[in-house]
Amino acid sequence: MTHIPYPYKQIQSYRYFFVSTGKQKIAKVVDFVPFRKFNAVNLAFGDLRADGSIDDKNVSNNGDIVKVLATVIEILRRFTESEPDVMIYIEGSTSERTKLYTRILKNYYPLFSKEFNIVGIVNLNNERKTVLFDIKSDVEYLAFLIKRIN
Amino acid sequence: MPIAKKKTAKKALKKRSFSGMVIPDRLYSKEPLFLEKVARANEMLRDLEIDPDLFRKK
Repeated sequence: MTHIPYPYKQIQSYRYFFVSTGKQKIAKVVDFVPFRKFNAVNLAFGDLRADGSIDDKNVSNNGDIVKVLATVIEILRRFTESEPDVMIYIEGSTSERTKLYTRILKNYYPLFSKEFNIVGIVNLNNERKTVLFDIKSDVEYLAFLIKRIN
Repeated sequence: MPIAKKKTAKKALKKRSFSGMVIPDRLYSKEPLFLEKVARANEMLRDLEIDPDLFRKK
């Protein structure tokens, strides 16, 4: 993504914070949560509500989705620079969001694929499989695993 | 409140704010924030075999 990201702050080694300043100011949290089974982390992000709770399903319509996603990608870039061997698991909080991420990955594939290997998780004959991400494929990706190219 | 204490409190607040918003203490704790999402991801990855060759192809 070539858009200028928001400034962000690393709060802990696996947690980041930034503020979306579209129509209103919305605090955002990006969290990398390690899995026990794999050398992977779950990329989660959402809005910080006034009461301190997190909402990862809210559609804020703040008019800055591209800038928000550019910020998340910049954080992802920074995180994988310090943890290059870790796979990042990405899944939308809803199937619509996962489809949005699929479209973004397809649109920016020439750029992303220079830095990351991208693997999709798909349903094949009622079994989940990992496949290489293919921008020409119409298959429905359920989630993604990406890893920095060393 | 004594001035020194006030200054310390102000400094702490500044340290724990960003882009004009206060970062709640909760975010500095080890408390997990995205429980539902993590549970869903664990379910997705359960029984999944990741082909390591996919990450070697380029």
